[in-house]
Amino acid sequence: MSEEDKPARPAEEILLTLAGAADLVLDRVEVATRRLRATLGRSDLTELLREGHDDLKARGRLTLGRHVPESHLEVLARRAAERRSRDV
Amino acid sequence: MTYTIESMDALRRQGDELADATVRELFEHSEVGRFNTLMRWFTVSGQVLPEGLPEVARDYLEATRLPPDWADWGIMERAREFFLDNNAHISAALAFASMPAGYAVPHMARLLSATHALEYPSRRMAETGQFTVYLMRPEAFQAGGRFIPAAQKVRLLHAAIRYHLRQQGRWDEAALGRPICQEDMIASQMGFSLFVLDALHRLGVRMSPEGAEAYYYAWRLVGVMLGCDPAAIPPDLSAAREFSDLYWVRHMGPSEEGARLTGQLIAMYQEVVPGTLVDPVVPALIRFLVGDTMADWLKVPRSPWDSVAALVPTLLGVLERIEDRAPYGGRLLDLVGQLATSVELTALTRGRVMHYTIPDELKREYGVRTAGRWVPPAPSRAAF
Repeated sequence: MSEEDKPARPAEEILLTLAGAADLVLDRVEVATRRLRATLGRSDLTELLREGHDDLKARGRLTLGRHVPESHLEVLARRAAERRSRDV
Repeated sequence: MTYTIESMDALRRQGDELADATVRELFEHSEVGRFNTLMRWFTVSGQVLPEGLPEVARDYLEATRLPPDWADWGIMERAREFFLDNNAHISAALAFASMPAGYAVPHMARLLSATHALEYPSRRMAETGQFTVYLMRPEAFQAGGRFIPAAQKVRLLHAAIRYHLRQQGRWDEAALGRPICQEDMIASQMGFSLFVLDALHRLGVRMSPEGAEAYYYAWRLVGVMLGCDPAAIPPDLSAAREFSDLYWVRHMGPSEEGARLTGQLIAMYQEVVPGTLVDPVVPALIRFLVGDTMADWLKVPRSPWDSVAALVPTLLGVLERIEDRAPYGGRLLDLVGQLATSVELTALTRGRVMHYTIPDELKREYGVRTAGRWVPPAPSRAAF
């Protein structure tokens, strides 16, 4: 029976799991940092940011526009206002 | 039925014969005080009428004690479910769309000002709020329900306002028709039903066609119980649209009274919500629901929050997603809705039970309280 196959004591088991999780997180952070550094090093960074911002705004506009039908009372009020200005 | 300018004009000349005759007789025999006191003992359906009630009142209560025969209780139950599902949204729509829509009709705003009820819109809101809660209780139309006696009293309250305005010559009947005429009464029902559905639609609330029709049906039944002519009240939502479009386009416009009432409504809701941080949300929500033209007529203040209000449907969309997907999410949100509505109603009624009494004169019953403070009576001369 090798060292790994032996049943670990509960405290040891928790420690091993935590250490594994920490290693995984660190690994991911390292990859993300590498990507971020590459992005920051780009010469067109300003342009990239502006595009990203425009993209977000367009998304926002779409989200708001998708949900809001016109107020029927506004339609009626405009008609009433037209009628009034005609009658005066 | 098709509505025309002529058919609408005819409705302007009609009041509510049964209630008007009852109130007239109560006033002519000086029986209003006794009637109001005794009616405090009559609050639920099926209760024995209090002894000593004037004959004419007894006849009226007898004639109006049952809902119309055509009432379909299956549809009424669907309406109740619709109300429970959308409780908080409906309360918001009533306060921030239906009430201002009424204020945007100058003669309605003038009537509300004449009765002074509008100096204190909280009373009317409290009465309307409690009335809606009674209506949507499971036992509303059964023995022990509080709705029918409340409706019987509200109908007399409207008749009393008609009576006083006529007696005091404060209403130009030739130009405006009868005060609280059939056209106005039916239009008010449209405000409580169709405009609430319109507001829910604008807020992005998903509704089934059956639910929306059932909600309208319940208010149509209420309208008939409050004295609307059953032959004139629109039978369904598409007829309701036809009626209300004609009504609002021909009557709506700016007025000083409408702007003042709206200002008071906004102030009242700002008081209901503790703190001042979200105060600008109230006018922003009104503006979002009624649109800029009407909001400008009613002098609803503008603020940077106006653009934030446009986010409300998105926020509600997120909440609906939670309701659909998260376990217990729907139940939890329903509970939050019920809680918000009951807090709002408690704040408005301040814990009172609204009695819908017949005002024995307009100003004292609804008027502004006397300013200044109480001073003890002067010493009696006889003792010194």
